[in-house]
Amino acid sequence: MRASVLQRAIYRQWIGPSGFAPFRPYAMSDVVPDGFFWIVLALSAWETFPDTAACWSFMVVPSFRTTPFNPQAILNPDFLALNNAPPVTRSYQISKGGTQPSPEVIFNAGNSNSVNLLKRWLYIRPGSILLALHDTDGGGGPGLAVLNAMIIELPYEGETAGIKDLSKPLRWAESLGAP
Amino acid sequence: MSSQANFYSRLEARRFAGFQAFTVNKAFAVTDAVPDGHVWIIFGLSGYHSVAGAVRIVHFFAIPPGEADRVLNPLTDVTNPIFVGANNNPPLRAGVLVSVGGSSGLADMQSLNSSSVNGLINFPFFLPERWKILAFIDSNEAVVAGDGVVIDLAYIDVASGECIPDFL
Repeated sequence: MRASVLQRAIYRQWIGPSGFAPFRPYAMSDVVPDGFFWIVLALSAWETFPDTAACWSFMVVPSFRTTPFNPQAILNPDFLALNNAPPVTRSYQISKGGTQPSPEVIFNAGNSNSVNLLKRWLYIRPGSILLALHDTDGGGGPGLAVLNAMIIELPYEGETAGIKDLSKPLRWAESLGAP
Repeated sequence: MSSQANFYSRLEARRFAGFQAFTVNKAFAVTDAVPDGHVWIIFGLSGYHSVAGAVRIVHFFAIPPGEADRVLNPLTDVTNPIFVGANNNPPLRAGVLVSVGGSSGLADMQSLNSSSVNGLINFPFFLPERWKILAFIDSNEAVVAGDGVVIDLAYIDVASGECIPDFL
């Protein structure tokens, strides 16, 4: 691959809707544009008024996403449980999981530390979104969730910038099951 | 070139030491910016804080151009505007966490007696032109008199036009 593809890495920040108890704060990325895909190199989040709660990230599959993109609505229909709690409609987790005893996924009340939301580089397809949310046990509260990312956006077809694995057409597969 | 082992002979190790006598404000250190037209392929990133006997968690962030231009290693005990919190506390105006993050019980990131902590989850990591790495002390911990942060970086500097191993 050419090193120039790495020069395309850009910084993005998305801020979720303003929260209030008992709703959990969350933040979504923009939708990956049609005809493009993203290589996510780094992903993290922090909150303006952090409660003690675990934070996870998910990639939400496009054909099951019900909201268009980072909506400024505190109650989001993509969350299947009450008050913006997981599970999330058709998605898969891309961060380390775990609950509140796992210190690396925890926000501490009163401290604006970030949580790392990516285990490894990730390719995400057109129409997908990145989502950061609290775990089920985390309580709701005021404040904003802030999602930060370092991403490379590349065309879906045509230019592959010399990345070997991208020189053939990309195929995406979704398996449909119960919710 | 891209697949030859001598590519890795270009690995450089550099140390970036921040101001080493913070007393009022929290300690931090920042690397140089990646030169224009270049990319750093980072194979190792670690750091420590320098005052013995005090345990402090160190966090590592990639800082994008713009904000990175305004954060430098100071020569005195001062605050930097990239920190939104008081006394060089997070959150940051801009930046992405690249180390293990989380709460104050984070044993993997605790530096004691100048022991290092690992600053990256993924290897290698890529830093485009004008980006920097910033390391600082956890927001839940107090200032240590006479403290400083040191960053150790192992990387290969490549020009944008070079062909490199297919890492992605």
